[in-house]
Amino acid sequence: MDKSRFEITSKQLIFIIVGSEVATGILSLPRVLSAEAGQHAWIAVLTGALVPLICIYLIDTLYRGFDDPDFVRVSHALFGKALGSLLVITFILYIIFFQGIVIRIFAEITKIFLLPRTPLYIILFLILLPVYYAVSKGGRVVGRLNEILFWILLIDLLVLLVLLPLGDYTLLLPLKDLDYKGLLKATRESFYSYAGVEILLILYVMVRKKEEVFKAAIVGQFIVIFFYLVTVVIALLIFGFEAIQQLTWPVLNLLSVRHVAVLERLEIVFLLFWLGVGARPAINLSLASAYSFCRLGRLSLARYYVLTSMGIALAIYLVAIWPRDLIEVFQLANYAGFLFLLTSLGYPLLYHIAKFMRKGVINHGKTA
Amino acid sequence: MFPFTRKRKIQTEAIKADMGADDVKLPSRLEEKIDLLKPCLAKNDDIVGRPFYLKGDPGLKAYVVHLEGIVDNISLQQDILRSLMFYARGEDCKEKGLEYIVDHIYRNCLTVTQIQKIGNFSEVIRAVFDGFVVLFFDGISAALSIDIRKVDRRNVEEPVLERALRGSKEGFVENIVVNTALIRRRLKDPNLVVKKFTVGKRTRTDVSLLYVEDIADPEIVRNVSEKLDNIYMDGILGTSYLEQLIEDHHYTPFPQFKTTERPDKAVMELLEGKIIVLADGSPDALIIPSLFVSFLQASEDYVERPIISFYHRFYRYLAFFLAVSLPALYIALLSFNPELVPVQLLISLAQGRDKVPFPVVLEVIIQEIIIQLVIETGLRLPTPMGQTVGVVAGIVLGQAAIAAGLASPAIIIIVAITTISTFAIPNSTMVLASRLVRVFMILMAAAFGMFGFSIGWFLLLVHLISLESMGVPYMAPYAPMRYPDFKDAVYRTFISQMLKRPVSIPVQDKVRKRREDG
Repeated sequence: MDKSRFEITSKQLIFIIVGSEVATGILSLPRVLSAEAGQHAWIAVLTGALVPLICIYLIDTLYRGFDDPDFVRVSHALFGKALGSLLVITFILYIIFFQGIVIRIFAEITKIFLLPRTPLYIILFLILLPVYYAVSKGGRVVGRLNEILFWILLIDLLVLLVLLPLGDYTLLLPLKDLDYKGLLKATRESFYSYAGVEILLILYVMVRKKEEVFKAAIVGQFIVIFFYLVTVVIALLIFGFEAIQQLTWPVLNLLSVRHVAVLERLEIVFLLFWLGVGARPAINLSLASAYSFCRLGRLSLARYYVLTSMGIALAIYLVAIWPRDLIEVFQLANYAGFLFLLTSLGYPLLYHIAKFMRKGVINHGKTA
Repeated sequence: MFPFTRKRKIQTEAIKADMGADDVKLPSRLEEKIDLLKPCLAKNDDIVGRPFYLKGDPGLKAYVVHLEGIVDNISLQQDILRSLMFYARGEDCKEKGLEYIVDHIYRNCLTVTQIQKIGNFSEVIRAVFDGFVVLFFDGISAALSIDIRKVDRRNVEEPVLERALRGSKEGFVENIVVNTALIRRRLKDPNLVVKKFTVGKRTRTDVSLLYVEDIADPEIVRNVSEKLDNIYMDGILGTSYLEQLIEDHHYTPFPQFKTTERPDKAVMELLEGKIIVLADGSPDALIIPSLFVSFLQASEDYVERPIISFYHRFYRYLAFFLAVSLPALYIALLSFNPELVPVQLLISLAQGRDKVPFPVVLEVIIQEIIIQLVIETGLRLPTPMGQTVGVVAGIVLGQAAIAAGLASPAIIIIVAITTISTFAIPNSTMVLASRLVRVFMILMAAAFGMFGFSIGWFLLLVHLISLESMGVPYMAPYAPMRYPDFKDAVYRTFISQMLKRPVSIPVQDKVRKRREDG
């Protein structure tokens, strides 16, 4: 597997950004946000979007000076061999932990709605099978996969839009009694739903035209914001913020609102398509971590990449099977969300500081 | 990986050694040459040798060798022997030397076009077995090999697999020269290049590479030529062998190169910047590269009106989906997720299954096996018998199985629809692929219901996306998305609007037609 197998176009980057962020989190997003902000939950979607936007800006400016903006090489150049490697390994571990949680939530939903009698470890295995298969094919294939899966996500969104006429706009009112404290808390929650944007730190090097990265990432980010906004607003319009609190995954409940002929249970049909959306962050981020791992160990991509991706999938499996029940999963998800803030803002900031301090020492681009 | 390459290297050397073993220069005396040839003549009774004298005073001794049946006898007698025996004048040579006579004969006596001078014994052997006529002369070391091959061939007929209601009724035949001519006649562009290869150590099959020089991507042309050059096999019996030897991915049921029996289709592909490979002995052309969508396109698509083509194309996509997934969906819905089926339908399905003692999965698999056996039988039998088998299988097995309580009416319908859908796919290799993928889907659905079905399709999608046909992404224009190509993939636009060549296939000249050209 040569290096051209890891090339993606900037157009594919748009869809990778969308695919890495939008996952199972969107199904519970309206409940999580409106718990704190009430009918103003949709504002939290917008305010929370600051984090990924800043993250994209920081990463882009960070890599601007480097000829070869490879995460591992830059880490080594800025922090030295030992500390640089430690940072990369931490990042990989974070990805494994985070995706373990994401896959677990996805598996739980599958168990409840689709396969109630199948043991969880088999469902997890089933989900990770296509994840491993896609990742093992390399970056180019993952890029193409993201392109085509984006349209499946769009179908899911269109299904939601069908419900728009049923909504009651008074449920969004009153607008003026804004509870700033609640909104702040909700904003913090909405940060977490943008997790996945940090993938840019690793994928930056794979994009063919580096000058288009910033634009592509921003476009992808705005698509995500739009998706979240539509989802939250529709959920609020249909249920109102008080009723949402009773529902674990309000978006799935939305689908049972309207009866569609022949397709008896719309939410199940939705979930069948959801595989392409729910497993996508795991595919993208596993790709990023397997790639970084190979670069870190100076392993030849041709020989060890497939093996590494298998190892990463296995690690995700172990993390996913670790929590005992759904409550523990949600607790861990909170930690993961916090870690996301660290990686998406902390990492780029740290690298920027190092870059600034080492400005005189390092000759850009010719870093070893 | 390494042992494999080493093996190939050894093999290559062995072949080369084989070829060059008897490589000696031809002696000048005729008797000596005939002695050299003797072992060959003694072994093979279909090699004809005939001594004769060239006209002159004194007549020069000569000898002609050729294979029986391959050479055009009339041409041999009239254009070669007759001219040499009656009109060749040996006198001229007396002044200019004996060696001059070969050139003299070549220029003045032989009224055929393809003549070559050869000097080595191995070349002589090769020429004889390739079907050329070889001439020897006494006192001259050089020999002449003359191409007057005449192969009995089938007439150009309507293609069997790619019949079209409208459009050309001509199909390729087994003869590569005729096939090349069929293409040339339709594409008179001087930029159409025909490059010849000889592939196969023992079969020495003629293979031609056709492309339009200022359209086709030089990278792909070079790639294909290289791969053809590097084939070391003893026998190449047609394009299907070549296909397997030059494809990128071996572990897949999906064909990576499309074949066509129609010269008009081949020309259309050439104009899109693709490469055509013809092989002697097979009545079809290999199209390189090919995309997944092209396997679902038929040649009528471009002959019929665009709106109708769009409608038909939609059915072919549907046919592929149904062929792959209908039995799997039936299993998943009935045994795992009955809540997705409307109640009335569910009740009638359950009533139909009332007397069937097997689980749904087994029922589907039994029917699948039966239908596969019927198809296999029907393929091999002569047409009238095949039809009988079809009727027996359809009516007796279907109706009797329900009466005997071995199958429910619904499963018969499902299997019938699936089989019909399978054959609505225009390409025969894709038909076979869809049958195999269907079994995979049945197993996934049998194990995990709708979710398994979903996983199965996801895996299939990833697999298709990961394939490449000579370096071109197989699933283009869907993944990667090439929006301009949607006009000939999702739907088919008006021919007058197809101003540019497909972006998915790398080409040099992107523009098919400029507006001002009219």
